[in-house]
Amino acid sequence: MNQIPELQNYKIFNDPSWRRVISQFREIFNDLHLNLEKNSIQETIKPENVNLSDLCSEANQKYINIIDNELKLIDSKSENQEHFRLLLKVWKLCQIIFIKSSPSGILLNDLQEWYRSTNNIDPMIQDLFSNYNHNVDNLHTDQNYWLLIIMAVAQGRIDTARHLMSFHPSKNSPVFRSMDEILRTMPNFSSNSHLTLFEFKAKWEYWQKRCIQILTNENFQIEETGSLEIICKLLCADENTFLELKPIFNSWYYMLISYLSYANPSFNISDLHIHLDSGICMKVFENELDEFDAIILKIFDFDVDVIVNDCVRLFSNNFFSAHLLDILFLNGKLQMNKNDLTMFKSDKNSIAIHEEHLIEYAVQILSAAWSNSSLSLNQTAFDYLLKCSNLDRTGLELIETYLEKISLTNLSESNANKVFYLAFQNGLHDLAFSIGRVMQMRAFKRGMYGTALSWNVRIKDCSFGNYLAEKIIEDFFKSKDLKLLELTESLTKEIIYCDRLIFLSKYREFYKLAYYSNKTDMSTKLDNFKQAGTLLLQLLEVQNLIPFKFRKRVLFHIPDLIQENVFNEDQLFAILRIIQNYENKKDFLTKNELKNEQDEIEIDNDDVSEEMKWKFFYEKISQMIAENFVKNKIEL
Amino acid sequence: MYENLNKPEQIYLNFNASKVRWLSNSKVMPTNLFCIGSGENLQNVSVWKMDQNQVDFEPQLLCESDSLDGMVTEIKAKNSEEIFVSTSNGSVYHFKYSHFDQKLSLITKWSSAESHTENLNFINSFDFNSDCDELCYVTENGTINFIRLHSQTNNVNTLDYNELCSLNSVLYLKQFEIAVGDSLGRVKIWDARSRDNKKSSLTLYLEGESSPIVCMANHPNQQHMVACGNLNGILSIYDVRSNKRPFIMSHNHSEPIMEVCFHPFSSDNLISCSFDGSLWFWNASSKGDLKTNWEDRTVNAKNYLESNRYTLNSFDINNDQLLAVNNNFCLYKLRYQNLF
Repeated sequence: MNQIPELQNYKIFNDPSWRRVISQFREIFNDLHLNLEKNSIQETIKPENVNLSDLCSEANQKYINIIDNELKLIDSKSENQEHFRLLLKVWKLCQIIFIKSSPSGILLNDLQEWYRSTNNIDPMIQDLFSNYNHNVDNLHTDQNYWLLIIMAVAQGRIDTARHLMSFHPSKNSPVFRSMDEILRTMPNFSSNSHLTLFEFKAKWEYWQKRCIQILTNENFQIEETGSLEIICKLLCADENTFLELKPIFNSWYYMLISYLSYANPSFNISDLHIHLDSGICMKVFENELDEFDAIILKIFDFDVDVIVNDCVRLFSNNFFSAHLLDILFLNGKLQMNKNDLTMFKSDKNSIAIHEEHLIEYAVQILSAAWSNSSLSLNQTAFDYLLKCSNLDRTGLELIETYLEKISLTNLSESNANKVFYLAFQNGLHDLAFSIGRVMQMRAFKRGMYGTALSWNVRIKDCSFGNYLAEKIIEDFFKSKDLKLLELTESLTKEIIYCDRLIFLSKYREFYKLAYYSNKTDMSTKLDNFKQAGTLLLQLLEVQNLIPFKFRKRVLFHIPDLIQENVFNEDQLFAILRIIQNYENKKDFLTKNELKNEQDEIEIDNDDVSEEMKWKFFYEKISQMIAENFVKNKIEL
Repeated sequence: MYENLNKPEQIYLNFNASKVRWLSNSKVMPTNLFCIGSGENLQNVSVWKMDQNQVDFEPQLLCESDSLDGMVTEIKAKNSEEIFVSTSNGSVYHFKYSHFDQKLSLITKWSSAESHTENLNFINSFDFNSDCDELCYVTENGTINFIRLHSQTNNVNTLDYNELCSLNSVLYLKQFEIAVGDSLGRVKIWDARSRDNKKSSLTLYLEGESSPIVCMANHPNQQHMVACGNLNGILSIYDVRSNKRPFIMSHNHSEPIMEVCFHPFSSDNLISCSFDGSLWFWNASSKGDLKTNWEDRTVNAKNYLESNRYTLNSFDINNDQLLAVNNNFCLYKLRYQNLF
C-alpha cells in the first residue's frame, strides 16, 4: 500500500477544529470509563446493569452532540464540514439501530428524526418565506412551494406540510379541505400515546382506507400541478409514486424510510430487513451507490465488523470505529454479532475487536504527535491505550515503547519533567529512571551541573552521582568558584544514596565555616573554626568517603586551621594518624601500580612540584602540631 | 470563606493553551478582556472578550497575533493594552492591543544573541519592575538577562554569571531586587544594579527539599513575601528579609504545582493549580486575629475544580473571576464570592 497518502490522512490530528473534537471526546471517553469503574466497585445490586447501558447511551449522545456543536461552530466553507456531516449521519443511525433499538421496538420515529436532521428542509423553508417577505399571498407561485410540501410529507412532518398548504389561495376548496383533514387525523404512534400497538394498527388501516377513498373520489383537477394527488398517493403508500419521486429523496435509504413510514408505520428491525431484501428502493438508485450507501446498508444489516472496517476506509482513521465499538462493547451489544455467536470464543473475540480499534486510533494519534512533539496529543493517546489490557500486547507496553522513543535531545527541561511524570504516573519506573539518566547526562554535557544534580537527586542514580560530585569538586579546585559548591546547599537527606555527594555537601559546609564565615565577632569566628575543624576531621576519618585523589587536597586545609589553634590533643593525634594513613595508601598504590587511582588532583598550578609542596606541608604541619601541643599543655 | 458562586463554566478551544492572562491594569480592576498564549499546535497569542451580560460563558475571539517563533512560555500584562510574551525559542515580544480597531500589533521583539544554539535559551519566566523600564528573564541554561524597555537599542543585557542550573522563575521584589527560583529548590535574591558583583545577596531554601521550583508569586502588598510552588507539590512561603525556614502550606498537591498566586484582595489566601488538574484555594486566614507570623496559622484547602482531571497549565484572577486552561484544550471560568 502506498504509505504517503496514508500519512496525510492523519492530518485530522493537527487540524484545529478536529483537535477540539478529539479532546472533548477524550474527556467523555475517560468519564465513561471512570464511571463504569466506580460502578463495578460498588457492584451490589442487579439494577446497576440498567445504569450501565444508560451511561453508555448517554456518552454516545454526548459524542454526537460534540460533533453537532462543532458543525455549528465551523464555517460552511471549511473542508471539515462534509466530513463531520457524514460522520454525524452514520453515528446517529448507529445510535438508533445498535443502541436505542430493541428487536421488536418500533423504529419509525427515530428513523424519521434521523431523516429530518440529516436532510434538513428548514433552511429551504426559511428561504421561501424570506423571498416572499411582504407578500405571502404569492407564496404558492414559487417553484419550491409544492416541492417543500411533498418533502415535508415524505419526512413525516405533517404539521409543516399543513402550515405551508394554508398559504395556498384555494385552501378553502373541498379537495384542500379533505386533504387537510386527512393529514390532521393521521394517527401517530409514539411511546407516550395511549394506544397499544394493535389499536394503532387498526386505526392506521382505517385511516389509510379513507386516504384511498379520497384518492378515488375527490376531484384533483382543480389544482393544476397535480401535487395534491401526489401527496395523497404518498399517504396511500403507492410504491410507484415513491419511485417516481426519486430526485426528492436523493438516497435510497431516505426513500425506504419514507416509504415504510406510510406502508408499515409500525415496522421493526426484521420488517426492515424484509423490505431491504426486496430491494425496491435500492434498484432505483442502482447506478449511484457509493461507499457510504454500502455502510448504511450494513448498518441496517447489523454487520458491525463490516461497518467499522468500511468507516475506517471512508474516514481513513479509526476515530469513529474506536469510539463506537467501545460503546457497543461496554453496552454488551458487541456479542450480538452473528459470527461471534457461533464461534467458541465469542466473548474473547469481541474484546479483541474493540481494543484493536482503540489501539489503532491511539497509534494514529501518536504518529501525528510524532512530527510536532505535542505532549497533550500524546497524553490523549495514552488515555486510550491504558484502557486496552486484553490483547497480547497491552496498551501499557505500547506506551512504554513509545515513551522510550521520544527524543530527549530537543526537549525542553519543563517538557522533560512532564514526560518524566507521565512515565511515573503510569507505573513505568524503569522508564522514568532512564529518562532521568538521559536528562542528567545532557545537562552535564552542557556544563549545567546544577540541573544534572537535580535530575540525579530525583532518580537517585548513585554511580552518576559519584561521577558528578567528583567533577564538581575538581572544577571547584580549579576555579575556586563557590557557586559550584553551593549547588548542594539545599540537599541534605536526599543525597544519602551517594557517598561522593555527601562528601561534597559536607565539604561545602566545612569550606563555608572555615573561609566564608561573615561573622565579625571574634568568639563566634573561633566557634566556627572549631566546628570546621571537627567537621574536617570527621570527614577525613571516615574511610573511603573522600576519594583518594582529593585526599591530599583536603589535607592541605589542615595548616590553616591549626594556625587558629582549634584542635585539641586527641584531634591532633587523629590528624597524625590520618596523614599516616594517607601515606600508607599512597605507598600501597605506587607499589601495586594502580595508576588510575593514583592520579591526584593537583593543588595549585604553580611551578613548585607536588613533592616539594608535600614536603613543605609536612614540615609546616609537624612544627605546628608541636607548637600546638605545647600551647595546649600550657593552657591546661 | 470563599464560596463558589456557580459551577465552573467551560468551553473548548481549538488549540492547546499554555498561558491565560487577564488584560487589565491590576488584578483588582475588573476587565472582560483576556489573552491566551498557545503551546503546541499553534504558536501565537490571541485576545478574547467576554460578554458580562451573557448568561453563558461564550468568549469571543477578537484577534490573533502572527505565528511566534516558539511556544508561549509566559505572558504578563503591563496594563490593559500592552502585553509581554516570551517564547521557548528565547524571544520576548512586546504587543500592543488596540481597543479601537481590535488589533494586536507587535511593538518590539528581543532575541538573545546566540539564538542559533537550539534549546539552550528556553525562557522559563520573566518579570518587569514596577516602573516598567526594565524586564528580566531567566532561561533554562542558567542565565539572567535584562532588557531596558525604554532604550532605543534592542539589546539584551545578559548577566555575566551562570547559575549552572536551569532557572525556572523570576520576580521583581523591589525596583532593583529580583528573586530567582532554580531547579535545585533555591530562591536567590539578586541586586539587579550591581552586575559586577557576581554573587547573590541572599539564598533561601527549604532544608531537605530540593525539588525544582516551578513558579513564584509576590504578595500583593508585602513585597518581601514570596510564595513558591515546587515540582513535588510543596507550596512554601518565604520571607526574603531573613533566611528563616519558610512557612509550608501543605503537601496537598501530590503532583507538580504549575502556577501559584496570592489572592488580590485577601492576601491570606493563595490559589495554586497543579499537574493533576486540581485548583486549590488555600485559606490561611488568621480568623480576625492580627498575626504576622505565618507559622501560627491554620490552613484549609479546597479544590475548586474537581471535575477536571487534566493538567492545568495556567490560571489568572481578576476581581472575582478566575480563568484557567488545561492541557485538554479546555478553558474554565469560575466566579467566587467573599463571604465576609
